Amino acid sequence: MFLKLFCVLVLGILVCPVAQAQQTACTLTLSGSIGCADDGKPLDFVAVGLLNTTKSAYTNKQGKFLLSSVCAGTYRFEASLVGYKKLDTLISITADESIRLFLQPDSVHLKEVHVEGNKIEKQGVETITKSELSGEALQQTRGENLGTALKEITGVDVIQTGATISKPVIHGLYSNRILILNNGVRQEGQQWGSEHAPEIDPFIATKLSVIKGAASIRYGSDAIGGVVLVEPAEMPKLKCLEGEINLVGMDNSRLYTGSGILQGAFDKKLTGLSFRIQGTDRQAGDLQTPNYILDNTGLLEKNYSGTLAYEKENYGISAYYSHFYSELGIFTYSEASNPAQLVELFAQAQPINFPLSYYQSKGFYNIYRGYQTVAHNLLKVNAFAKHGKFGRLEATFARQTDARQEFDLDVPYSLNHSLDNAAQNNFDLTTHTGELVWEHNSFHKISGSAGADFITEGNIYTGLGYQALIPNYLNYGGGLFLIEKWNPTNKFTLEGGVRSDYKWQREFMLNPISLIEYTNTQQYDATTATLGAIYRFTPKLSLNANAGSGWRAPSAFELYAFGVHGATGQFVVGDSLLKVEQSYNFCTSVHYSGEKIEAELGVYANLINNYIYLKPTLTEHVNIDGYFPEFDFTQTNAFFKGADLNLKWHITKHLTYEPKATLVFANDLTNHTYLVYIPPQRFNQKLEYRWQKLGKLKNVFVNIGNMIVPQQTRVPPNSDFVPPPKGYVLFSAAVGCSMHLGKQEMNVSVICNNLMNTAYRDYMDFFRYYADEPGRSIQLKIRIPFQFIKPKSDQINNN
Amino acid sequence: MKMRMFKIAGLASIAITATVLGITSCSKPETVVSPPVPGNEFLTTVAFRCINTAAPFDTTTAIWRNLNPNGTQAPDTSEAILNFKKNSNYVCWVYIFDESQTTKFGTTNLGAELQPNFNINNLPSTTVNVTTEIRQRQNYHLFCFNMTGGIATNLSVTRTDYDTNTPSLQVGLNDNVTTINVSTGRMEVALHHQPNVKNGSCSPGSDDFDIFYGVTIQ
Repeated sequence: MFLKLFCVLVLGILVCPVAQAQQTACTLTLSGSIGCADDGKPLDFVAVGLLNTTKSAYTNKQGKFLLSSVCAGTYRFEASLVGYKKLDTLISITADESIRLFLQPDSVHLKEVHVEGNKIEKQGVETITKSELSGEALQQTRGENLGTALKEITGVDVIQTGATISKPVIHGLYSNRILILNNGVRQEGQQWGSEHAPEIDPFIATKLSVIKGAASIRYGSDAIGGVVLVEPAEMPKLKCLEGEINLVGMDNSRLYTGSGILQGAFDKKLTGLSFRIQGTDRQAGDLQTPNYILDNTGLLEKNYSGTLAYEKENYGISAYYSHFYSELGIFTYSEASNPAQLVELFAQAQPINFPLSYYQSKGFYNIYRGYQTVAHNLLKVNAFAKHGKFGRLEATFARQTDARQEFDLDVPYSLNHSLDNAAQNNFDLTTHTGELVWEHNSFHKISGSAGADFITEGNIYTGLGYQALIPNYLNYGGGLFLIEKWNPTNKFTLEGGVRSDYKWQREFMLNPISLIEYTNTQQYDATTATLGAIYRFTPKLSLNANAGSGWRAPSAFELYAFGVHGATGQFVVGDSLLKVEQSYNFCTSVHYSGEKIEAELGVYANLINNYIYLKPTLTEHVNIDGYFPEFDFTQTNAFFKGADLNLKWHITKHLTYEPKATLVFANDLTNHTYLVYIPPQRFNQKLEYRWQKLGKLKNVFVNIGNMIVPQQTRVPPNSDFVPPPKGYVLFSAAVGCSMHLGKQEMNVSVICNNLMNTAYRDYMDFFRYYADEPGRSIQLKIRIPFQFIKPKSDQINNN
Repeated sequence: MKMRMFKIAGLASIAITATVLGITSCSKPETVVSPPVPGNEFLTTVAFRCINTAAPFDTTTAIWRNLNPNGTQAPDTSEAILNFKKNSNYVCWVYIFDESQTTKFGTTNLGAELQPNFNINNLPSTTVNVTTEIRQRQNYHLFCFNMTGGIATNLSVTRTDYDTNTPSLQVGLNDNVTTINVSTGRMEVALHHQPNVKNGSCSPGSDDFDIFYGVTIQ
């Protein structure tokens, strides 16, 4: 087995030495000192950072700061301190740099304290524990879907329907209990289904962030478990024309992905105008487990997006459009018509195993019936205005359409074969969201924002059956919020907020017997609050804590489901009297970023009253497909607790050890038992060796990692057809480097997952009933940044 | 200047909000519940009809039906009973019908249609015969029979028709039933849907239907 690792290493070494010339390393340091321009005295607690990177720090009492592990390149460097004008300058880093800068006292607002924090609309609630994936760590996930990429963050698991459909799970909560913000807009697809993956192309993002706690205070309904932020880079400000190409190939499933981005900004009369276009093409064939191929597990994705922005110092407007299209094959033998067949399928040691010639003759990439297609469009228009005394006002409007079609394995029976290619289910969801946020200027060391938002949705179901899994519905919702922060010193932030929400929903249904239409209407309101604090002991060490509440209105599926849920063989019955889910969340974490040790340790507790779940009724429904056990949506009080531990130990200049743990414990308080489909504990560790320079290569790394997932033993009795699968241990390895082909810079890496080709099943994957998880895969990832017109450093924008 | 810009942005945001309200207050297709796509056929009724090869007037027909395919009502199994004579041979046919449209127009009398002078071409106009389509798709369909209770050892079903796969495989729309001793029990009839994977065995694929008949051998 270690032969494979050796192969991977050799492959990496073969790929990398093609490289030539210049240095591009992520081991550089940028240090310096910052003083007051009036008297030259050092300034402490100046926030410094490189824009669009995670590199940031505060100056110490001597006014000094240090940013380590910086990649070579040109950055916008920002330094800000209360009462001083923000410094914003371009810095080109090719070797370890030391700089000395001075801040101008802010004469206009000398008596007012001006805190330049991150923009509130992106930050949400600052005191809730938040983790990010960006830069090289994000690069290593390129080609994966959003859910799988987010799994790199502690506290995040995935719930899957096969390897191609995965949804993020934050602290044990998923689907409608977490919110995904796609470029600032709440993603509205058909989240109620566990086999409905988020309709987002991860390539649009240069940063994926996860807010690990209840954030309803800022985002309203659904943000009970947390929020995923898919954030593109800021639009370029200085005249340029640049971009990046990403290529990913994988042996298992023969996946290939190509993604490109091109952006530019103009100068002279067009200063402030910028654009970005982006597109991704992704295709994969049948996945391979260690012992067999999974028939019809291919995928096809074609996504594109474009942004046009016009931004001046005090106002700006931008428009963003994105289109996401995917086609996903559903593993042929995962379709059981009834529970008896499901148990039969699970009893099989393996699904039908065809010879390779079968796949070659039918075509590896062809997707047959038993598939779903999703087309998601998003249009967002955003405008802001700033005024010295008043603050900043920002308005955002977005329209989304989500069209999902589900084609069952069974071809519909129809007269003249007219419906041979028809989908059994069509869901069409149209969402409009709007938001108006006012960030007021700091007043008596208090800064904050107030805002109003609204959402309206319309869902249309059409299908071949009489029975809609979810009914047609219309809803309107709105909220008002106020979030304020008090910064008495640079060391301490106290944050508090309140929000009030209202939601109206009406469903349109047919009486199945009389076929007469009828409607039902619900109204919900909720008040949420948050209180949190951050204390920065030193620039390296900080502690945050937050107590907040969240809420979620029951989904139309939970209210009105009536029928067999294909993926699980359950006859699901909704309850139109379900109440609002209410969560009370507490989270706290310690961040330490020293030279030897970087650590992020968080614990949380989340009490959810009226938690909605499927309860077995021990009765059966009979239809022409057979017998189905009935599960009813019911409410209980649930308690989630756990910890996220993330450590990075720089043992030597070259060697780093990085252990991580994601621990989740969930209990049903009302029935004194556990809850189903809660992720098992997960432990990761990685040992990495890095050379800043190795021969002609730069920033070379080799790492080996493993993931340990014990069996989930905390499950309620008699709640599942089969017990949770055994625990497993997986190994992975990667090599990578930066290099130049001629003058062209590029990053190359080779990653091997499931190195030992272990056959295993995962509790959080519905495929565990039928088949093993994918076996060994080797991925090649190439990133090629390019600049046709480089931003010039003499255009420094020092305001 | 700044103030003016701010006013413009403020007006713009109001305009956006107004547009939004305008869009959302237009026509609402959500309020109309779409009926099932026309032309789709539901499998609501499975009939099993047998004739004694030695006594042509000894026929038995069992009908299993669930006219509300959405599952709101339990299936009607009052006619889902087969009566055989012991030590006999029967030639049998499976019929599949869509009677879902009949719910709108009152009940049909398909049971009577199947009694003794059954004519497949003489169905009520609202009843669709899906059997012919299953015959057209025979290359990926297989009927499976499973006996439980006393008939488990006293009744056997043999499929007698073949598809056009290479090699040719059984289908099961036409069958022979052989009985031995007096007994009772249940016969499960399942139509397996096996695109690309039909191999003569019942395991692969999903079910188009899976129903039970009561059986008495006298």
